[in-house]
Amino acid sequence: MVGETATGKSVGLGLGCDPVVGSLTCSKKREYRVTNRLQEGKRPLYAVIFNFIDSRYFNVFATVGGNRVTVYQCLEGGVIAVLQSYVDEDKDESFYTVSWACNVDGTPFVVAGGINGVMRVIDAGSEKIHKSFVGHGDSVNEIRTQTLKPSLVISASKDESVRLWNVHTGICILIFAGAGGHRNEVLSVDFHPSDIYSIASCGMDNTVKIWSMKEFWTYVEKSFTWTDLPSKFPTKYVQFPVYNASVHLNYVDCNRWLGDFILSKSVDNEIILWEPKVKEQTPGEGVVDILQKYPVPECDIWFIKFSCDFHFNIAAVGNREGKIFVWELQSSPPVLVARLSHPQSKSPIRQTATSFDGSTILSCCEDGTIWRWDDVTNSSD
Amino acid sequence: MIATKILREKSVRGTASSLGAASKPKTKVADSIKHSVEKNKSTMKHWMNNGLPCGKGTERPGIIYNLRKRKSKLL
Repeated sequence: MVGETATGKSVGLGLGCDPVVGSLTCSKKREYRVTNRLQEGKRPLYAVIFNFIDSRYFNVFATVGGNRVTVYQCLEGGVIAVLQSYVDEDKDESFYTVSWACNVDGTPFVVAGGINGVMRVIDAGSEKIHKSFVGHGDSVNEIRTQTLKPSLVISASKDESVRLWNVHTGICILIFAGAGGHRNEVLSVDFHPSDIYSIASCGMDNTVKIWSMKEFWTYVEKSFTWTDLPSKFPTKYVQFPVYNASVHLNYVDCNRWLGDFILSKSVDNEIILWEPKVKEQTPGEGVVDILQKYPVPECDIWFIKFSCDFHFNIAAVGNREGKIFVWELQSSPPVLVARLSHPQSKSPIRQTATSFDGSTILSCCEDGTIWRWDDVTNSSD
Repeated sequence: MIATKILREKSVRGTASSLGAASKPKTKVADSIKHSVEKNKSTMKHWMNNGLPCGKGTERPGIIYNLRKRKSKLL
């Protein structure tokens, strides 16, 4: 049972209570305004991401849609400049995900993957393909970069596996799959923000799994100095996660660490914040402590991913009607700081990208548009 | 080895359910979230700057790879 205050907000009542649920009454703490709208093409755009890896490029973002990867820069006054655009040689390619990474010398890389299962590593400095990663047996649904060691990227695939790659050497270091692995498409994966060994993955088997690569770290280190063919590297399988739980009753299409807690989303019109707790008696099996819920109306289709600013102050998530909900993450009860909508924005928003400080929110849509919303809360005009 | 494998296989089958899970005092949720985020932030070092990246209002370092000046053949 959850009590309600006079303002209609849900509040927790102490020990043993149900999760706190955010109210959809908007606090209007922040005011965002549409400052730009781009029609990149007619094909759906599935991913958009700011470069949080390199502080020199915080205002640079990449999008993917169809067989195209495009790099843009957010400028003052809502201007969006096209910097680069790459077209895959395979016309049937459809990229689903993109991430920023770095070579060991700091060269910015854009890593994209999609329906073909081949990951393209693009050297944005020289504007050339650096490497192509072949290994996944089916579509790549998400790619994330280890911010503590940004030559390491991880990919989640329809082939039910998660793979760790070294973009510098092109080596597939680890494969997270097997007896304890996912039983259907893996839709999302994320690195822990400070524990370099931990990742969380989720997918169509309705589960969230936490994996540790600690006992395989020597292979990670070896991958940086490997000079032989990548195919000769002793890639290892990680068959058992250190934690497994069913938090949702349907596909889980996005999970992100929030400190040691996890934000995850299914097709139940909400994002859930919860704490994974391992049972000491039965390693690998976990208990779920759901802390709070962030409602997202009309978000009952899968492959809609949310984003957070660098400091995890806010999360922005779109829905199938082209609306964006901006939640304050670290308050309890959750506070809806803004609801963003526009009469011409009616297409499903596949992903949002929130800028470093949350001052800009981008959305990429099923109709091929990119929308830019800027925080004008403290604007004098 | 076989016993270990059996134990592991058994452990992953019994998936915990979220139904009824609510052990943390919810009045402390906000503090727990902030503490968890801050704890991780204090140990998170940006690999290039050896510290957290600069925020809004802070002067950013010059761009070494000036992407804009290099025109792609595809554009």
